[in-house]
Amino acid sequence: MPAPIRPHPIKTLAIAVVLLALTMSPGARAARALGELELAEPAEGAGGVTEKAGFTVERLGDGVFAAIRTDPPGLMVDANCLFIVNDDDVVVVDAPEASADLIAALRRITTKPVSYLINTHWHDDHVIGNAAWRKAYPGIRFIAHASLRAYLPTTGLARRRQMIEGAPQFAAQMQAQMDKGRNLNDEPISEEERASYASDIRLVRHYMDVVPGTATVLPDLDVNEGLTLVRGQRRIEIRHLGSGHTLADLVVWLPRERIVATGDLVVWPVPLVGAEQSHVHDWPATLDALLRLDPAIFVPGHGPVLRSADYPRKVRDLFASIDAQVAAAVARGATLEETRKGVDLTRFRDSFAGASKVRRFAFGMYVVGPAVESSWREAKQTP
Amino acid sequence: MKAAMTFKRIPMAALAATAVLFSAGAAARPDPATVHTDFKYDTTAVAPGITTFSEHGPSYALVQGNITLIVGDTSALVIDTGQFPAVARRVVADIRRLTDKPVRYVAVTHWHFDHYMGNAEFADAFPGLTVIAQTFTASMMDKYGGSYANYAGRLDEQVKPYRDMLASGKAADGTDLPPDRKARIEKMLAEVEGEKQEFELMRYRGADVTFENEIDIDLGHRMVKLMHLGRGNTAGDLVAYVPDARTLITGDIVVHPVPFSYGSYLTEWPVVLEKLAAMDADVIVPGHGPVMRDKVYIGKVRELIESTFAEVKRVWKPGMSGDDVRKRIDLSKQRDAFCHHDKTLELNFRASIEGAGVDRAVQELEGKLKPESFDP
Repeated sequence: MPAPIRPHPIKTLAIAVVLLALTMSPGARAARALGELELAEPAEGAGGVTEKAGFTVERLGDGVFAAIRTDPPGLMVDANCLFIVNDDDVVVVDAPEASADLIAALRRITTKPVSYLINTHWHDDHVIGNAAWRKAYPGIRFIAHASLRAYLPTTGLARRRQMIEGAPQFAAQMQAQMDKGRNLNDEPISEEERASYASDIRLVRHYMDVVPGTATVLPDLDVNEGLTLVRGQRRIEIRHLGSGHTLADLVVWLPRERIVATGDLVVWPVPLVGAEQSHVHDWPATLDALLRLDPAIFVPGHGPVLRSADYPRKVRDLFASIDAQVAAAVARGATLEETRKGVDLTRFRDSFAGASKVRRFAFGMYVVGPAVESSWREAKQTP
Repeated sequence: MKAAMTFKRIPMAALAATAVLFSAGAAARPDPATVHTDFKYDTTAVAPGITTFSEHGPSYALVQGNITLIVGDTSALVIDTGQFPAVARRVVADIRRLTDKPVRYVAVTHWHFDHYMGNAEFADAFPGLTVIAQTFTASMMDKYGGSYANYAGRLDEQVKPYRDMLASGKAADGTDLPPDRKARIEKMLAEVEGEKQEFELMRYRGADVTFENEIDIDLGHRMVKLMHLGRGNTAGDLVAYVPDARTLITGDIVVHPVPFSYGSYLTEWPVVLEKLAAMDADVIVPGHGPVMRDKVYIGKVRELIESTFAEVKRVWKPGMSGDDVRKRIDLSKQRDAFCHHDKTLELNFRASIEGAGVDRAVQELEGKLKPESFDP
């Protein structure tokens, strides 16, 4: 995402000009420590492709490779990417900020041309790389939800400008806190936080290298419900299963391989919600539709490859709980502030974030605040 | 499309209306460059950047759907590719003269093969081409698209009765062959010779992209909406709409001069036609026939389909066959409105509307619509 949004009421240091996303893939150890994830083992033949650029490439099946971010969890993210290598061409899911490095990684896997790229939604960490992919593969066609055509040149551009303005400031504040040995709540900084901040600063630097001079590339094919790509024996189903992270969410489903790329409908270790852009009320039904596909492998928008439905189901339950609690509060006539106070997500916060300060902070920033607000707005029907 | 059925009923009309003839596919594939089918088409400037290549009728054997080119600032889209590979090559050459933009997309309006057997020629000419079809259309193309070469030898068999008529000078009922009919048969047989070669060139190229209801394509400052508005002529009809040119390309939902209702959905089709009529467009490119500058004909087709179904419904009782119904209905007003007493058009009308259309109406009334198929 990195979608800058309006200043958030959360009382931290004055950093909240940027709602930076949250990411995670610290590797198997951290996941096992959390005790609820099955992480992908690096597959033979692809496990060696480790990038300095902040991602590793995992082979998920015949011709299917996921480029998974390796940054520690933080407030700033870049997205995962999927390469689907077919008989004569390649189909790619998402165009992250690191697309130049992703293109280089793909070229080490195959010389086949990329003919289609699907943007799973409109945030820059999923679309800004379109320009690089088109330059590398002039015949490429971009597929996205129809709403990107209106969003990207207007709201999308405005938010990009906010981000370009705010991100260096945000990074400087993080650096200043690190230099003082303090975290963003002005407490003594932990090693986990230090690693997270350092990663955020790197990602901001990369963002500033890539984004400001890059032109928006709109999709060639707009979909509302989806379409299917037929590539030899391979079927690649692109589906809008409903709204969730945004109203533009697409998933990419390989029915034969039972692999699904979820976009930011599923983000690990903590979901990613925008108060103004997400649809918490719809999100559980959208994830139900995703789960009904019965995928064996989930490639989330951010986070490691998931080989069970446990985590997506947990995300679904989280939003269903928020929505039910908010609906009850709204039925009692509660204001947004009263609703915030009344919603109890302790159990979920513990489950998603455990004792990790970084994750607990992210859970507050990216789930509790915006999700309650999104749900409240929808319940009041005041979008 | 329905060769067998229409051959039985009104053979000449079958040839004229459907051109489902079969290949002498056993022969080696001819050099495409040497195939010069005697097929004439008109090139119509529909709107800025939109050109339609339509059969220069009337024709007896060689029939194919309209081919329409839509050019944007960065790329071009072609709606349907016709039936004949060698003709498609000529159209490709014309397109290259009209624009330097690459054809990056072909959209197929429906699965009847006079609309897509040129796909392979376009794919050869424009590497990286994306062929788009509605899901049902794509599956029917997959089912039948590769099989036309297997109809080897059937063409001569199909036209043998006509050769016999010419040899004997007698029609099937033993009467003398009238000179005008003799001339029509001679023309048809001559065209069949050309068509045999075209069949030998046919290669199947299916869809790369399938969709259910709608996808929109950006050609560079020009959006084109590809829409499936419901079942009409087939269960997978695609309509292309170019908002900036107020132009609709309808496929065989609209066919001029006589609508085409083989395997069609008579109660749903008028709903689709109403949707077309409600769209902000004033240029209509039908599946066959000349480009229209108003929607009058769409209304005429809707009235025809509605009144045909109503007339069948009026007389139909459980157990009645299509033939039973045909003895009791009167569609002469509709026939006159479309055919103006032209004998050839009347043959088409009797085959398409009074034949196939009435059969479909009966199937709907029985609650047993047969699956669309191509069974020669």
